[in-house]
Amino acid sequence: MCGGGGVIYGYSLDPSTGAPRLLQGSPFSSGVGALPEGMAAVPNSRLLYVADAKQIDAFCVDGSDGFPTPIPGSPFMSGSNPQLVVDPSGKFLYASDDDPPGGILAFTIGPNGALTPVVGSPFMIPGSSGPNSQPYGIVDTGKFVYTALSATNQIAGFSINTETGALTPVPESPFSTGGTPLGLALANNFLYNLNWQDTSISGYSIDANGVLTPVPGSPFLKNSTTTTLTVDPLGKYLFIGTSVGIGGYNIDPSTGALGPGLAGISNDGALWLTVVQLP
Amino acid sequence: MPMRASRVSTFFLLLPLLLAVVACGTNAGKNTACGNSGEGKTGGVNSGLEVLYSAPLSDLLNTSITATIDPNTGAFNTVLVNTVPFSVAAASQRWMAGFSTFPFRQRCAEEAE
Repeated sequence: MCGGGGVIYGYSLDPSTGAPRLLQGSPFSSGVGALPEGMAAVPNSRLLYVADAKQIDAFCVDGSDGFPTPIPGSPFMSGSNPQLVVDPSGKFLYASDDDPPGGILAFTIGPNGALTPVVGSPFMIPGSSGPNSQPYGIVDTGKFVYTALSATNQIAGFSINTETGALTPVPESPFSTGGTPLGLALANNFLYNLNWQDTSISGYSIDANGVLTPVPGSPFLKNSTTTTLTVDPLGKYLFIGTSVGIGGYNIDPSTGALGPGLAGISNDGALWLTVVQLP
Repeated sequence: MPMRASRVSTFFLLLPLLLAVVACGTNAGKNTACGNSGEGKTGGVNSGLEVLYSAPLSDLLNTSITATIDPNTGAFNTVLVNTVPFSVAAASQRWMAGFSTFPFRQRCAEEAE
């Protein structure tokens, strides 16, 4: 990948413009035979995790030059995990598990960043149909973990035991959604997912028990050539990539419905989007 | 080094479609000790600059977008076009070879602060 297997690109970000600049030494190797994919960082630390082939690579990012150094014990054995998320508490890491029948891998994050499987991991998805639900996108609200089941057109939800990291399915999970759900994005108490086959976006409110309920107007942007989505860190705007550019929508803070589109950017399409808030 | 600024610096590590951000200080010299306090996200809402990053859907122009966001309106304030540092074609080939189930990969981002 990226011109030859198992590398990670690193950049510094200009604090006033956000402009990226390639770090010295980048790209960095993530190991022979590596197939890095999803990434997640621990809040208030310099620990970085990378989903890899049957393992999770863990790095300490140097505070002065950004160089990622594997931490002791890395890589940590896991499953076929395409995507990762770190719990906002910094105590747990969850990964979508693409090994049949599909589930969620759960780890505790030690003081030095080492990963230890949570008792009961991987956590299976009750009620999903087919030989493999193929979980992909994964998000963590701090109370609940959701993953998009791309093969069964569902979203699975789990509540988090905040002491142990163990997962318990929320009532009514998994929830039906559009065709081939892939990406997930959180905006406060609302969850949005991109349905790749439908090229639509489904929006849900999250209740106190983790149950998902479609927001008014969902699904949105049907047949829109949407390829990717993301939400700003404050949960006010949802941005999409399409085959012809980038667009944005206001999120109604009370209902989660998407408002009129904002002015966009025209280009040759966006493969992925992400919004970050610089320190 | 690309970044020895006097201000708080931020590094992010990028895969073709995936991105994570790690906030770092500007201490002189190497700073390789890493720990996890387990405190997670603390404090109030960060008031820092919001920036959107994108990678291109095709390799026709091979450019990425960096756009700052007006926090009050969601509008894009400034838009920078950068040459992407990797071959999208190579990324696509890898995608097809390794993950033929899906036509693309979705970004995964976690912000450290």
